[in-house]
Amino acid sequence: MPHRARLAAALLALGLAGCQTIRYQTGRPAAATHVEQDVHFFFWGLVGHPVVDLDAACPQGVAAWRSDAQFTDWLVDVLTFGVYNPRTVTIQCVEVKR
Amino acid sequence: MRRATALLGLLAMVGLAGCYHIRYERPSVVGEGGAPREQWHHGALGGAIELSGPVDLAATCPDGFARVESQITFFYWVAQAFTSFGVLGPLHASLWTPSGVKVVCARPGVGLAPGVRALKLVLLPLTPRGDVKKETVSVFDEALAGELRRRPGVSVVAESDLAALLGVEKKRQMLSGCADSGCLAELGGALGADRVVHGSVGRVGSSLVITISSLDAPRARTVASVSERLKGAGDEAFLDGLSAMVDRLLAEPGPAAPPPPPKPAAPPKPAR
Repeated sequence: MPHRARLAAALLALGLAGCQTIRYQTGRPAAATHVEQDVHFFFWGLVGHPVVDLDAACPQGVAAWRSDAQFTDWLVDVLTFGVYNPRTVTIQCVEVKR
Repeated sequence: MRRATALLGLLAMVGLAGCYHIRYERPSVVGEGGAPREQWHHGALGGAIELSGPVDLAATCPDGFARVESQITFFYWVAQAFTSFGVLGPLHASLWTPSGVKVVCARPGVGLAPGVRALKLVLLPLTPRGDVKKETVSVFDEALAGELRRRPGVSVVAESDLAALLGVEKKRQMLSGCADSGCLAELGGALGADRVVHGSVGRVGSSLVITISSLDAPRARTVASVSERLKGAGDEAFLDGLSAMVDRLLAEPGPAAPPPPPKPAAPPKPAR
């Protein structure tokens, strides 16, 4: 297997795990369920200033969230040569036991 | 050539303003004044590997946060471009993937946006039961007050504030023997509180038993209650479980749905 192909395969595997990842933690206990929100950028991220309302997503409070380019996001990004750059924000609300 | 230069200049200008800019907002929380707290976030291979770990907002903003922004500024973009060599370029996976995170913390002691009223809580000292020491429960009281104060939109009047507000003698008179909901509601009403938080911590065998309730002072009824039995736990288990207990205490059920309208009475069957 040529060196480049191996590198590409490794990167593809990493892409499957999600890239451009930033995680945020508030230190509060997280519920098992999560809320996903798609955000959209265009032209290498130059166009698009999405705003995510955490109060609306989690009225009881937010425990943690992450933004990343999931595999399909990354694939679309690469196939459109960076013209369309979708990203996914995954939010975990605070766990409320009753 | 001129067009190319102009295009490059335009791209650079736009690039200077930043790209991949996401803003996370909590509209109910008022941010502190001044410049946001900035930090770098480092990733590798297009950010697939998070080198700098998650952004710890609890450490950055102990009183909570109002807004968080992430952005790839021009400098970060140049760094990514220079490390996107070979096959990495077309895969949009720079070897080094830095980005900037700006955090606006909640304004301490305020927390809420205009028009949103703070929930005023009076926190009564927890009652020690079993062989739990009074001094230990005083530490629990302080920890509980601190945890409640960390929540945006909550204003807490604790035991020390009561003494300052009422004077030591009046505080003693008001609190002595005040255990039933009517008395607690009166106390809350006198202090202009929305809720009166009260409870006890005791030990039965090897179990630490914690009961904390939140009483709606104007309606004189309990709206949330937390009851925990921590089996085989030391006193520090209270502190470990405090955040989750406060979450449950503040997560009150919404107003009850109005009862369905009564079904119209069926017309009487004609007599045969």
